[in-house]
Amino acid sequence: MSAPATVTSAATRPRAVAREVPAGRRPGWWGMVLTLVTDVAAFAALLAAYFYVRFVTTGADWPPGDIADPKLLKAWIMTALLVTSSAPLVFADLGIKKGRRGRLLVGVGLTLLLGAAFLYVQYSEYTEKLTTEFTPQTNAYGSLFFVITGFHGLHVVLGVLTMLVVFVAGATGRITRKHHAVVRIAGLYWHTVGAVWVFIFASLYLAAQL
Amino acid sequence: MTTLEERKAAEAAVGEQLEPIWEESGGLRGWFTTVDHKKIGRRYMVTAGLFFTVAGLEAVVMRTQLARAQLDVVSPDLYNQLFTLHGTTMIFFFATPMLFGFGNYLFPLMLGARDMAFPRLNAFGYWAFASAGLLMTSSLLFGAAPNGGWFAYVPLNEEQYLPGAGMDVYSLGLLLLGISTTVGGINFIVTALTMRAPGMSLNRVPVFVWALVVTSFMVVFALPPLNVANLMLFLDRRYGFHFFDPSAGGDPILWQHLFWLFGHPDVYIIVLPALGIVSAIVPTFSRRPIAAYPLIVLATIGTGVISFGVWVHHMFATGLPQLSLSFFSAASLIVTIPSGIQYFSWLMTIVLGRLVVRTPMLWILGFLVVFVAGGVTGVMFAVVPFDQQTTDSYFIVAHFHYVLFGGAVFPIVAGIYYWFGKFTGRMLSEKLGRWSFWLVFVGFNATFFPMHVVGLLGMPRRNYTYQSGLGWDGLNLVETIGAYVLTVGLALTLFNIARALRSGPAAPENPWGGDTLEWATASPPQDYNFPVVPTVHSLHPMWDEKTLATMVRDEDDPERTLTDGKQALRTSDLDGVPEHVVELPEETVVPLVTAGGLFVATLALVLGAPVVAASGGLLTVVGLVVWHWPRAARQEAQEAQEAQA
Repeated sequence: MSAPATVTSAATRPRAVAREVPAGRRPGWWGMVLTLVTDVAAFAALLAAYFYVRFVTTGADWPPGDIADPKLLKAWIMTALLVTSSAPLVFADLGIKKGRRGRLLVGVGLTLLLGAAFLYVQYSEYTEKLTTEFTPQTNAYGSLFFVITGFHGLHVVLGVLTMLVVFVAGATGRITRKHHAVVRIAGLYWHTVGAVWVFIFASLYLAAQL
Repeated sequence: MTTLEERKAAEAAVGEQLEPIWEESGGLRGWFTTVDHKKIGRRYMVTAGLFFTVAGLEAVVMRTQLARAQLDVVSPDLYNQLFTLHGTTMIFFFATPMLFGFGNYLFPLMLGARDMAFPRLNAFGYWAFASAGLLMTSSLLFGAAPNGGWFAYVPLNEEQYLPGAGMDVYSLGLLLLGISTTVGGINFIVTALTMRAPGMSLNRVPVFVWALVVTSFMVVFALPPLNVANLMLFLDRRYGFHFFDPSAGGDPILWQHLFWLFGHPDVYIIVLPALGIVSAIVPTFSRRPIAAYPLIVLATIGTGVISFGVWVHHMFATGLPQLSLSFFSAASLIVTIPSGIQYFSWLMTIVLGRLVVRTPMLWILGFLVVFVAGGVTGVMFAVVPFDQQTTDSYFIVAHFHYVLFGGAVFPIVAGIYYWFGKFTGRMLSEKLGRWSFWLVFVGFNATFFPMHVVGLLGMPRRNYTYQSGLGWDGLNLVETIGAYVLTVGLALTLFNIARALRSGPAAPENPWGGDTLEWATASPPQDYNFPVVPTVHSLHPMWDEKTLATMVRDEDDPERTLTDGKQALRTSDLDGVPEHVVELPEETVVPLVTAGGLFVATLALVLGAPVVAASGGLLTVVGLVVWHWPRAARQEAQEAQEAQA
């Protein structure tokens, strides 16, 4: 055991084996899955609160009082941006698996831009609503609308930051064919945040028209 | 049974190589940077014990106030703070963190692993918990403790009815703690799924581990409603939102639904790991394997699932539709079945085995008596008319103390007596332990049994005093005397611990002849837990010779000694087949900084300084980026260069 390791035996040592693409799911992958499970449960609780106030507390008149049905144009644009943004990330993930750093950077960069565009549209929608329609302090509907979309927006902000980190790490050669778990795990987060938005869009915008 | 020959041989073979790899800084620096699950687990237990002591003393003050009718020991307002803080601390800052402490310490040892799956997350969880608890407990000193009851019903807890910082401390403190509990739970699940010793298929996992994994899954699903509710409460109170305000379209009952959707599962979040401790101790002192292992595991999972369908039994007096009451009444009756299965499994283990009553087992026997009494009154609450008669009376106070003190504190103290030798390398005194047990057992029943009676006689909970001549005087005095006896009993265990730490006899490796893998390590364990990772051959690795023999057989196998770096073995989820080696992180200050940012943010929000809060949040984000910055590729390239040179 104490003899100096030759190059051949070094390849079979645990340290070398540890660096190979793993057979099973990494602990980090499981960690992210469970984090997202609890996160989605939080969104579920928020949406449950929304429907509770809508159907049990308020009844027929929804949105309550003078508030008009939510406008759909910007929300459709946001949905399109966020759903589309998942595709380049998958492209990046598959690319870096083959060691293609260019594909990684282009994919992550595109996702980053689409996410930022989502936030910009949300910002403009917020400005419009806050100045001409209602605020979180107007009534329970306003509180629910802004907390649910705001909590989701915060997730997108964190997602964009994550994409930025992945982009910089990729550009400086820290993500390679062997070490790319971070792309897969960050992608898991991004796709989930996008999927959650579809539910929010359906509940807060589409269903509110009924 | 003092030294394990196999461990000694394995230690001699590779201990010298492993020691420098796993050693952490000592002193003050090491205090802030450690990622060792044993140190963190011990810290969890000591900190939770501290909160237990403070919250216990708060209860003694309350009992003193209630010793006689119309005493004036504390003001009504202080009394409100005392009962709120007592409940909040015991539920959130003692029970779960204490059991997570046991889990942190014991998980890798029972699973035959070298550390948790996420050691830095473990450290982060501790710092977040400790700082949230510090905020909550110290708020009493500033007269700003929560004062609206531990389940914080609205509208009472809205700003206009309960001004001041108290309930903001409550909502934000619980949010910070919620983050800690959630990441702790995730860490347990991933560790149990991915880090078990080779050969430990799911049907060879100790019941304690199963219990804590089920608990962790419950945490993952149950905490979000609580966190969401607390966020809403804070926004209502501070920023004029209207979630719970009926005059602006909100709904107070929404709070109750969200709170109890967390709150009832939380009863089992507290009790299940404690029952896991019982399942660890009973077989050891019955000298036989646990009876009906598959059933007890399925019952644990069943409890976890059903507990999500019973929350409305906390709201039977709220005026909900009849149909909903019937459904939740039935569900609340059904949830007793899996608990009953666990009970009979322990009883059959004792009956079929050969009972040896050492101190840990004595506490377990006490648990069996007390907890069943709490269970019986629990079934009574599932019956709607009975519940509506006794809700918010002392009957319910009696019930949940039998469940939580009986179901959690007795097993926790039993666990302390059982594993103290492993934790510290010193043995506690059996004699002091027995004295402590009898004082606690008598004191506990004297305190809480009469509460059933005064509750049925109509005494409401949470009142700071009462009129004389209602038939409550004598019983209240008995309760107060009981509380003092209980305090002396618990103080005796504290004294026992202090004495053992100073001059207790050295602990052997397996003092009780236990069956799980933690007993295969030194007392206290080496930094790397196992010099050679054992290969598990049965549910009782210490009772089969094959498992221990693998520690000698594999002492030359680099896949089992892992002497190349700070490494652990990743095995498959179901069957425990070795898959690959994972690198574990070195000690670091990053978790402390990340949690510190959250603490600054929480404190600043309580004090009403949003800009400071934002900078605290920013610090956390920076901490997270440093934490997750990809380093492996560079390190590998560097090593390759060095190897060539």
